[in-house]
Amino acid sequence: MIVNLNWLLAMTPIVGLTVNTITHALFSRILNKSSVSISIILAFICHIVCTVSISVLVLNSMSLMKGDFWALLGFNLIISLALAYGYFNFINLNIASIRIRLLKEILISDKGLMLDDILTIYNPDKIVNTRIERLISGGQLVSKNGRCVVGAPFILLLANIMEVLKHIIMGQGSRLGKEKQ
Amino acid sequence: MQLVLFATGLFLTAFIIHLIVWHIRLPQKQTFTLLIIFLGLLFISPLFLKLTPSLFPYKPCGISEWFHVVLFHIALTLGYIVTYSAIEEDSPSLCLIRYVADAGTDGRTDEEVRNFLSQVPIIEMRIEASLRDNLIIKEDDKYELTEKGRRLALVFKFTQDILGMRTGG
Repeated sequence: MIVNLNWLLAMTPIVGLTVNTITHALFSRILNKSSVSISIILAFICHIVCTVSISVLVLNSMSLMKGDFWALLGFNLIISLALAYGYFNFINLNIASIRIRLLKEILISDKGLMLDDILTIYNPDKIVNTRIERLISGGQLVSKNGRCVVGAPFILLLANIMEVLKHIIMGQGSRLGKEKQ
Repeated sequence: MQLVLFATGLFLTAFIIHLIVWHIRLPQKQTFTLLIIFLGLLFISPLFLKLTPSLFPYKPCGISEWFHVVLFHIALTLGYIVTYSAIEEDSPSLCLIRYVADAGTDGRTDEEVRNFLSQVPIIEMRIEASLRDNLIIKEDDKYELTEKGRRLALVFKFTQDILGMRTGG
C-alpha cells in the first residue's frame, strides 16, 4: 500500500500538468480568442488546485510527521510550478516568438521564402509597433501625453532580476541599448 | 524530508557546476552543455551515492522515490533552460522596460522608445539563429525548413490549431 501511495504522490504533478493542458484547451475553445491570458490563468489554477488536493489526500493517508508532510507538499508544489512554467513558455512561444512564426510561415509557403518575402510579412516598423502595442495592452508600459512610463512594477522587478542573473551567470549585463544611454 | 534534501542538493550541485564552467569558459553550444551538466549529474547520481557513505541517509528508497527525484530535477532543469534563453540573449522588451524606468517619472518619449527598439535587427537575428540551430537552410536565396525545423513548425502549428489561437509572433 505504501509503495502505491509513493507512486501516487510522485505522479501527482504529472496529473496536474495533464489537467492544465486539458482545461487550457477547453477554456481556449469556450472563451474567445482575445482572452488568451485568461484561459492560461484559469488552467494554471486548475493545475495547482488539483496537485495540492491530491497531494494532501495522499500525504494524509501516509501518516507522516508534520515536517515531512509539509516538505513533500512543498516538493510537489515546486515540481508543479516548474511544469506549469514550462508549459506557459511553450504556449507563449506560439503567441510571441518571431522565430516560431517564421518557421510556420515557411511551412505554410511550401516552397520556402526569400528574405524580401519575410520582410514583407514582418517589416521592422511592424515588429516595433507590435511589441509596443503588446507592452501597452499588457499594462507593462503606460503611454500618456506622448511619453511612456513603466506601468507594472512587477515587470520592472523581473527585468532587474534578469539583469542580476545575467551578471552572476554570464559575468556581464545586457548589451542592448548601452550605446544609446 | 531526506528525499527533498537529496533532490534539492542534486539540483543545486548541478547549478554550481554550471556556474563554475561558465566562469571558466563560455561554451559554444550553451543549451546543449546545460543539458549535459544537469542531466549528466542526475544520471551519475546513483553511482555517486554508492561511493559516498555520508550520503546514505539521503538515498531515495525504491523506484517511486527515484522517479520523484527525476521528475523534480527534470522539471526544474527545463524551467531553468527556458529562463536561460532570456539570460543568454538580450530580451528587447525587458531591456526597454529598464530603459524607460531609468528615465524616472518623466519616462521616455514615444520616439525614444521606437528608436530603442529599432536598433535591434530582430528578423536578421532570428534567421541567423534558425540557420545556426539547423532549423532552416538557405538554397538559391530561399529559406527552406530542414526536417528538424519542419517537425518543430508542425508541433507549434498543431498546438495553435488545438487551442484555436491566432497567429502570434
